[in-house]
Amino acid sequence: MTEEALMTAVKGGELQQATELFDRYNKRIYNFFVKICFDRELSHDLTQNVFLRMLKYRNSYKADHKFQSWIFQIARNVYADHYRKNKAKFSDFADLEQCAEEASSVIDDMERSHKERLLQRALTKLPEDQREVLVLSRFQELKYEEIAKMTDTTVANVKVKVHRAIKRLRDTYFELEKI
Amino acid sequence: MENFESMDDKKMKELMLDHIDGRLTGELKDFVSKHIEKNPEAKKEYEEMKQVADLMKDSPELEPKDELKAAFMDELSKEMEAIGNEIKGLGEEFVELSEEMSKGEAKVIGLNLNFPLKVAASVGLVLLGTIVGILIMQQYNRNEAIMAELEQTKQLLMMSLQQESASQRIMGVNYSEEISELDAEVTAVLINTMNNDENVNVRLAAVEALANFIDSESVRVALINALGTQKNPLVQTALINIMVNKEEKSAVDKLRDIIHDPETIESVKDEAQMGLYKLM
Repeated sequence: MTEEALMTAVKGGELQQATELFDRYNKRIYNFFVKICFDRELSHDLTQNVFLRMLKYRNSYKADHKFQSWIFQIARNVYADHYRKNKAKFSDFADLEQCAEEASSVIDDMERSHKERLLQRALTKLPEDQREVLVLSRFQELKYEEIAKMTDTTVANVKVKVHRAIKRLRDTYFELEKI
Repeated sequence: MENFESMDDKKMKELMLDHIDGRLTGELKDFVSKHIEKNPEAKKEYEEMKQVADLMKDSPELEPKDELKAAFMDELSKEMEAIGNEIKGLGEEFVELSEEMSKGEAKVIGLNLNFPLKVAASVGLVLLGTIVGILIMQQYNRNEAIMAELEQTKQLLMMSLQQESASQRIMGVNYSEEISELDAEVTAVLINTMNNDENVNVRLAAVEALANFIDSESVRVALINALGTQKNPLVQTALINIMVNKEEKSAVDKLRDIIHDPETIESVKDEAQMGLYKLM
């Protein structure tokens, strides 16, 4: 069954079909958050929140929408809401400090090669919007068209953004490599 | 070629990324490849970008904790319970409505009983209304107790289909799953929903519900006719699948019509073609 058909069924009241959608997507959504905020605990909570919203807002799903775009759109909203709520509590500086600290532990978890660690470190140094566009287009392999729709912009614009982000990532990565 | 050469550096860098991603073909691809080979600086940049892009591609994913699924299943069951309550709520609405509708009739029934008449005589006409009311309630409760569950479900179904919200109408259609025996009134109302509901999800639910009653001639004919009238791809696909599953050979002509209709979308045409193949 396609994800679109499954979600249409959920919308129509067959809630048990939501389990299949959870199984197919929970890991992807979780890793989307991990790569954006480098906080496993937080990513865990946010992922849970995404699937809760999928249930609560099932009536807003339109059958002609790609499920993948819809669920990642929810994930973006969940993250934006979290960020908005917590902005008052932390200064940006504190956020970054915290992020760097947690990032190193996440990177350790990945038990990766030197190169992989460098990549993760370089990622943490990117501005959040650039990191997001990379996570969506590169790690989650969403099409430029989908990202354009989700972020309410043009494909050309997404391309420019991705390109800038990769360029910056590359610069940071090779700078870190020199150290 | 002139165009390409006058492109600025930035554009070339974008093209190199497209090249890495395998988005380029033909002349443009050759042009970018040559540019990379000819310019050591471009080559270095290309290789660095490729290295970073490849790393991202092969980046490992972390496993979420098992609690995540447990928490989700918990939320899911809560949500399913909430739907259950909504159904109960509808049932209560039904009770209220039936009470109002039956008040007129029930008064007559009440007056025919000896007991309320005696009581009414002793306490006066003013109280009559109240007591009759109580009796109606008792009468109603007795009726409700013996009312066949089927009848209740049927009423609930009919009422839900009158609701403005599409999700409630879908719920109404789904009540038909609880009715195992064929009921002409139910199938008629489902056919009407399939043909006329404005919401595609409701129509889809009606189609699926009707498939259970395909042994009935009227349902069979209605489903086959719907093949000719429904224009929504989801509904069309559902109908085609039903015809194939039920080996409904008389649908063959309608399937041909769908295939030849210029307004049918490709994926539906494919389904119809496959259906035709299986039925022939």
